[in-house]
Amino acid sequence: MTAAVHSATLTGTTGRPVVVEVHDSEGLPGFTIVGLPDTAVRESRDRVRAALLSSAFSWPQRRVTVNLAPTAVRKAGAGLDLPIALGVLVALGDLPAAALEGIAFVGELGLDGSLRHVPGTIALAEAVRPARLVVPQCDLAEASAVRPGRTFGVPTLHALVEILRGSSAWPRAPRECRAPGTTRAPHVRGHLVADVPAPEAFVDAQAEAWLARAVERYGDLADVKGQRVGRRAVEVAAAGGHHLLLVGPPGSGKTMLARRLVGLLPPLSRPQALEVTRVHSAAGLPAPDTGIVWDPPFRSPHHGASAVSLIGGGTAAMRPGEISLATQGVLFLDEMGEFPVAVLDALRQPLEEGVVHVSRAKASADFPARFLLVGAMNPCPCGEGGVPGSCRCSPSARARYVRRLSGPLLDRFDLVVPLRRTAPDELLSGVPGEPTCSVAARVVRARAIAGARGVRCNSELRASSLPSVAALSPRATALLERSVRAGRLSGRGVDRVRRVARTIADLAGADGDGAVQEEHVAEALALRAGREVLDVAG
Amino acid sequence: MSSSARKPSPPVATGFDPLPEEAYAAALASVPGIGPRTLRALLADRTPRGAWEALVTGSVRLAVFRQAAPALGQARRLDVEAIWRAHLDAGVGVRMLGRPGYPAVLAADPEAPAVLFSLGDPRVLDRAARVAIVGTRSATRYGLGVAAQLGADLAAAGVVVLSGLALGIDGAAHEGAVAAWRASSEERAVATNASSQASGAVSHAGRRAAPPVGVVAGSVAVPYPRQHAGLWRRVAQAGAVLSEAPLGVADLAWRFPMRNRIIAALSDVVVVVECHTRGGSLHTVQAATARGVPVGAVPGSVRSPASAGTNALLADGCFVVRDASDVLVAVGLRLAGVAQRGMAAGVPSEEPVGVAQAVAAGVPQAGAPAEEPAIGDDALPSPTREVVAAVGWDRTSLDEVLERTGLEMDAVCGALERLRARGIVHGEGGWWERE
Repeated sequence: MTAAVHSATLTGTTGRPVVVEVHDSEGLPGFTIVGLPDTAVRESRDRVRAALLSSAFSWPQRRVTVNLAPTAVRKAGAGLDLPIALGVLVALGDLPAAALEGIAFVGELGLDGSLRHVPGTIALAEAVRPARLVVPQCDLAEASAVRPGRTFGVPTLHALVEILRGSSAWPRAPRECRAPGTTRAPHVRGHLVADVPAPEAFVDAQAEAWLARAVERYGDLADVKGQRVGRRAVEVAAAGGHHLLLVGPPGSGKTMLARRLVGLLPPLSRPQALEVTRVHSAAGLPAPDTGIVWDPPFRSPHHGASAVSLIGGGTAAMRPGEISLATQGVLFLDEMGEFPVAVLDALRQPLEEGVVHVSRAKASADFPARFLLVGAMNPCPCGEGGVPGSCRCSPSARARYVRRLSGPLLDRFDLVVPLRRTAPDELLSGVPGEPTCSVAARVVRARAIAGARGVRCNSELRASSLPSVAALSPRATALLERSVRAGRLSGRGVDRVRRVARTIADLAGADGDGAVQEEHVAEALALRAGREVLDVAG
Repeated sequence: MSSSARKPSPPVATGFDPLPEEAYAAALASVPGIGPRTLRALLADRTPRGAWEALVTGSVRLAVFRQAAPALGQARRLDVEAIWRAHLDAGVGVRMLGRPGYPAVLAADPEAPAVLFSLGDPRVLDRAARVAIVGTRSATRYGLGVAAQLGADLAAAGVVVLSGLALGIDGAAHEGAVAAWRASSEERAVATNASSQASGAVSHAGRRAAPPVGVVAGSVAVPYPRQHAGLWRRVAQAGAVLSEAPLGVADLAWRFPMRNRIIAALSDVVVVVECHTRGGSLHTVQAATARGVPVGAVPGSVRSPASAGTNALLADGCFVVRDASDVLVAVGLRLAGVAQRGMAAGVPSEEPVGVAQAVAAGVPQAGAPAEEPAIGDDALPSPTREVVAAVGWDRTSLDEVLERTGLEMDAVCGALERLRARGIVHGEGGWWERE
């Protein structure tokens, strides 16, 4: 007798539908899995056998063949355990085939018959063909985010079979996935795009809960003493999505600022949250209680990271890399000067396209990579090069250090901010800076203004739209002209400065259509003054 | 220099027979393992050809040379004619101690290099006062500005500016000196034309500026650092570039302190513009002090690491250099002292001579700088006025300006850019200062 059970498998972060066909016949007892299974799938034979026996079913003393169709797709992971087990039960006649009609199954089996978490559940839930889906209880929140009302969570194989046999009732299928501590899904951005409110409007009860969590995780901006330029840079980066490079000596608070930047980012919109969840789930990161990742991610790989760990890849599994895990969030590269040059240069294409194509002989995958890049580095090997006359490095050592950031990569940074160590009196003064909550309100408002321009944030503004969207006042034009003439700004830098100046104007509460003023351009220029520190060496 | 070097064939093009002594001098200097001291010992009582033959036949019995025994084998492999031809082709002059063409001021030094390689004409060293301007490679804008100004003013006053053509202070001083020398040459050219037209009228063009002289560690024909290749060429065209290293030697670290002793030996006065508490400038100061050459230092902010060394020198009793006239007074004292020493038949006298005497000795005084025109800060509009008050003459970080004014960043940056456009402040790398 044969059985066919619907399920799905994962390639990269994309699910592909799979039909598990089980055939049993007379013959020498045996159990074969065909259809390009990877090691985990091949090992499912032993898990399925143990789980069936533990759940009070018998193991067939017959010849059983399992085919995973379509056969051309590589099958990875243990998520096919459950459909294989069910297929065996149907083939043996322990379950009526009709009971599985219109239902797909995903789940890894424990030896005791319990159902376990499957990485990439959200992508699998999107991929399966039948209307209804059964997943392990622990993956219910994640799967029902994309199949609300049609996804069921079960704890064990035995419980599932009882339901399928009609002995017990189906559990309730959750309708909608909610963000924690909120009464509704946090569509803050979507809500604000239609109607740009004053910053105070954001600080309602829901947003407060959100910010409290962000502050708890990443720290409050008020903790950063002094560093007004650094704090402002973080605000502008968060508001405009401008890649930020912090150049300063050890102990100038680069890491502290980078972490607080994440706390300033607004909650993800639903499509963004799903994108992040897909990547995180596929990479096997622990899922949040909500099932969906609503927080903008923060990833900070150590500078020993290999190109593959950053970009993504692997032999057959095609695991997403750090840049994809940071999508819609912040990728923080501390000590950028210490990363291998090849690794840094591999960032250039994803930075430009927001997606990374990983190709291997056995498989290829596209991973999202729309991250905000925050880099931190010393101005030179001794760290003191930011202060004129303090550097103890030889000019060639300094040039070598700075050259690790290739020109094209350096050009991607709209903000290159020189930091100095905070003076001891400022550190001890106890005067707190502006707290995250009030800065975040401005960030949300600026992002909303950018959203009205049809982009996620100002860094995505096309150069061709700048004359209309970021029109310059005559004095602002004159300032840009002076800067280019004096060689302080390259032709390529002009557009970047205009985008940043637009963000600064939006943050200042200027009318979204108003012209960019001289002050805004001046501040944008000050926020890339770190390039001069690096150019001295280069 | 370079034009003559590119002439297809110098008079001795084919078959140098016999090779001139200079060829052997260059070859001896090219032997790995023969440093300045060994070379001097070798040439103390031999002609270069004699020394070379003694070397290749192995008949030298020099205590210093025993450690460098492998050099014997190295020397046998060297082709004297090829070395000589390379020097000729590169336009490098070879000057030997005790022969014409060697700077007389250097010949008197106990550690004078036995062989000197040159681009340009070093004879100017014997015609004018010489001041070394040295300092750190990692200089501040303040230091670079002072060095360039000193270089220009001293050159204009007819003083040969000596330096090492390194990055930072050295380069800035030479840039200033070259600029002043060029300006003066052009002025003279114009004046000469005018006077010839005015049939013998006396030229009113000022005193002729002195050309700069660079003393470098590596070969004079290989500019190092490469960023200074242009400056190097202009210095060689105007004055000279000297070194005791032949063509084709590596820029070994030990050559830099050795180079500094030549600078000290050539100088009437050494001026340190900016230096850290350690570094090559202090080698030059040491070498100068050992030779009784007065050392001056430019004071700087006590907070600036680049002025830590110079401020320490001032605390140790070096004279203060605020502008070129401070240096010229010191040069006058030194020259007067030398003259006096000469009269006292070799009895060394370190007694300083009165300033009046120095001035009477005809040392030109650079015009005192005009009083800083008072900037009407009060006339500036409101945010700009506070911002300019918050930016000090010392470098001030943008953070400090924000802290002092308490204003928003966009307002402060706008004001700074307006002030920059008017030339009141200068900003770079997040630091601002009054011009």
